[in-house]
Amino acid sequence: MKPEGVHRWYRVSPLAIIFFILGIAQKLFWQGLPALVVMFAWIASADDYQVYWISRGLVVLAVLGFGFSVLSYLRFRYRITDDRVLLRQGVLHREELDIEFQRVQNITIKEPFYMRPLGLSVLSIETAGSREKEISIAGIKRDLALSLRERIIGGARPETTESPGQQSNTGEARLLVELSRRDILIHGLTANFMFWILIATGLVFGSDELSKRFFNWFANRFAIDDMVLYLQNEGGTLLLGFALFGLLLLVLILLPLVSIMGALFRYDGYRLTADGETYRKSSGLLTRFDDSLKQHKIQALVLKQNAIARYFKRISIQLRQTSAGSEADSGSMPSGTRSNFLVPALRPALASELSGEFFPECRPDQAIYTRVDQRRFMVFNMAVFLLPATLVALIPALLVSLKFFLVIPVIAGILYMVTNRRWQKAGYCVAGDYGFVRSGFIGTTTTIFPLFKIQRIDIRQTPIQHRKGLTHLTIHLASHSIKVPYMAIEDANRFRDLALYCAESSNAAWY
Amino acid sequence: MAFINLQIDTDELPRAEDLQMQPMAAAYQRESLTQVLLVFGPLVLLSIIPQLFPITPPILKSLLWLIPLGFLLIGGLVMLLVMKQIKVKGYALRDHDIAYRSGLFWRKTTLLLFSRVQHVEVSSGPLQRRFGLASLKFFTAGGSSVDLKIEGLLREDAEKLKEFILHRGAGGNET
Repeated sequence: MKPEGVHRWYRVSPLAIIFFILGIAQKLFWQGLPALVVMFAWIASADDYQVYWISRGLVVLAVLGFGFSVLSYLRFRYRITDDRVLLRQGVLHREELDIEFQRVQNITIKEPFYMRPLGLSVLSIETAGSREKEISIAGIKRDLALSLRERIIGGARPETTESPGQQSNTGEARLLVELSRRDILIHGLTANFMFWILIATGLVFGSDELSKRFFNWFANRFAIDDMVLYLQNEGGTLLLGFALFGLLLLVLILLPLVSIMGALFRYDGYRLTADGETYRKSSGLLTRFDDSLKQHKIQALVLKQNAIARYFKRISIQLRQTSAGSEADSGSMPSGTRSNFLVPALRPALASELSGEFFPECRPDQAIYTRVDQRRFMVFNMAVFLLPATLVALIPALLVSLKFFLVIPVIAGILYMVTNRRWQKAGYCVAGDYGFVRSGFIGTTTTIFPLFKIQRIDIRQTPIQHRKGLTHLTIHLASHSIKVPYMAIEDANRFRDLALYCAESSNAAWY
Repeated sequence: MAFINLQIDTDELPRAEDLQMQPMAAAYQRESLTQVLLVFGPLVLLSIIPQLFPITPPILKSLLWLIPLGFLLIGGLVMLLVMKQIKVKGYALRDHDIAYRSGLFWRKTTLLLFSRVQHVEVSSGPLQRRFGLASLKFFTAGGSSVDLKIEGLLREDAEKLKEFILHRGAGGNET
């Protein structure tokens, strides 16, 4: 133990100012997104005089942001002692943080493009507990960040180092996954699939007041009215229709491109290595991300394959860790990547092999799933959609024509096929020390968890289910909760008893 | 460490569904009924007030009696349901976990492991204090809110349970 005075307070590199500016910009963007839309609409309807003042206002805002960032940098100090990290930060609201190495959940080292030439990086520390928070030390030397991570994570669990030769890092890392550009392109295509579908449909069908104003403004700026008139005069309505269709097609092509670009920036040069029981992944085109995770911290594996990924025969694996607090706690920023260690675009065989790597003796490809009760699953899941659909169809049927009732069997038919498909996918399995839960429609999501890591189990029955001997089983893990619907009550009871037995007879720490 | 993997006979595992649930404290019924009375009592009294004034068509006046009558009926029904609901509620302790059953229509049984409990909270509102009652709340990792809330325990029982569970949980955590 060195005396406290040896570890002094350090200041970070001035480049951290850029980091603070970007942080402020990001915060402003996510928290002010609604305001931003309104502002856009306002600018759209503003005259030149107002535009003048708006632009001046923006300049003032930018200067304020810069000043704030400089002050943030000047206020920022860090200090590392033998077992904790201390931080002093904040301009208006000054705070001093004290993080014990023990409480550190996850450490990410980012190398933003503006720091890479100088060998600097951003060290982000995620802590677990009720006072959940992510802190960043921006602008410290990369080597220092790496050695710090080694010290913090290495010192996080002194009780597991009972056999140093066997468990501790051997120094040479095993390469588990290396993704090619092609893999990453495929991941980009498959990743935000639902997201860009939503955007595309939103663009086509969204027509509320704001977007109208926005489009009007857009049209005015680029003289689209004239173009439309010109097209109509020259080629008639047909050409106009073609032009519109082409535009729509362009948007539909552009959106996946954006998604691919995103994947490329985030996952280019993806490498996953194992060193002892520490997994490390590094990736990124401009900004490099370097994450590490200890094997025992994995609470569950989520194997995902959506419709597009199914076409490409790829599976992604999420390594779920203890989720820190609720989603709402982490502010209005999207928390998708938080505590989410992703291994994307894997071929099925490799995905299965990797599952066995993360969870020893776990073979997802050999799991034999038990299905849930077909009748109740179908009846309930169809009724949820069919009843409102019937009510909606009732109005035009009574007012306009009884033929509208014909819509109902069509909807019912489609629903039947969809629900039946979902039923076929729904299943659960216990194999070895692991529980498996599967769900999906075209794609598949499989959650695998060590039985002994459960936190809590709920069994919930409606009166009808009670009579039919069925139940919903909900398994609460430290990372998330998984629900198995319409399970036979004997099976649910047995599942619960077994999982409790595994958890209560095991001395292994779940965290 | 040698790897041992014994076969487990799942029929021989301790069965959680056979647990004898301990009913909630008797004072809990009185407290819940008082709560219903506090809501519906004033409503009934308020709806009687118009009867004190002369109202021209006598039929309207007698029709207005339907309002307090309705409140009485609904209040009585709520009381009945609350009583039934409390009868369903129950908890049971085992060596390593606690079971809690609740729900009149949607019956739910929760099993929570002592070793996963991060902290326990005993709380009681003004009405609960009058009846010497308290609620016990359990928090585990990952959950953003309360993971299990047991209402209607006697204050001293709640404190005892809290001590017991924290003690057990700490023992389970030490490897």
